[in-house]
Amino acid sequence: LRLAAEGGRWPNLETLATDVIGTKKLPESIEDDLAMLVLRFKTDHPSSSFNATIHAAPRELAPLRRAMRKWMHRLLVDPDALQDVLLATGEAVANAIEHAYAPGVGTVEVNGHVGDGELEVTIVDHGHWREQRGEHQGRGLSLMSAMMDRVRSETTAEGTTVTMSKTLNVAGE
Amino acid sequence: MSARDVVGIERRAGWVVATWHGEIDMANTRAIERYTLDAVQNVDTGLIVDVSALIYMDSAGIRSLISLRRLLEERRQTLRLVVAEQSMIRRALEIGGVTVAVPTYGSIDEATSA
Repeated sequence: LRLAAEGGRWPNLETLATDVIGTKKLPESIEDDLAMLVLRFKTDHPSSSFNATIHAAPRELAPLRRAMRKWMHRLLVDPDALQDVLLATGEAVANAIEHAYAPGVGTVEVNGHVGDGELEVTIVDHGHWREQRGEHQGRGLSLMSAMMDRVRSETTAEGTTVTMSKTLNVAGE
Repeated sequence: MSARDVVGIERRAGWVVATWHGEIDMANTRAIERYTLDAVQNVDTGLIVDVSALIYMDSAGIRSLISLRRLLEERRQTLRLVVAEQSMIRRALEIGGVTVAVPTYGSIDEATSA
């Protein structure tokens, strides 16, 4: 039976089972019922989505970057784009940490998605933004728009959502 | 990681050379800035910060460099920056305006001899 299954390729699990069972290599004298279990091993497909919720605290920035690096590595995002996305996201999250909440409270959600050659990141906080502090704020924002192709920010009574996207080179380029 | 682990300090030709390693963001930038500044004595010509080995630096780090320049100027000392051509953070420094605000060189040797 093992010989029958070895080395073959089948379009799906059913044909594999029928073919293997159907081979005449089975001894005539099988009296017990024969059960065959066919398993398919999924190739580990990298997830196109990233989700993280962090405490709005500076110490959370480095672990968030580690997780995002890993995610983008698996999706073969090229190193320059990876660095750009990391920095833009870092700035947006740092802004939320600095401006959205009183120190030590609140969370920030970071969602990423890759599809159709686009990488999109949203940074969501549920705070009320305090008055922005001119120059410092400005540098973070200009970095964000330089690193990404599109950046928009929407503030409602529930909080602020920053949505940024970047066009990616085809993987492997 | 404490600032001591990410900042290497040496002296060359009258300059203090601080080499920053790893990643800099709002969580550690102030400690790194202070540790670096504390290494500079009055007799030193100035400070050279080599950021080439950093794998990440955000606007908080950029703020620190600008602030170091100002603090040194008040003491009549100079800040010079070293960013290797292939540095991962070079683009962020350029866009953040640091390479204009602070004299920038490609290597420590260039920075000490300029």
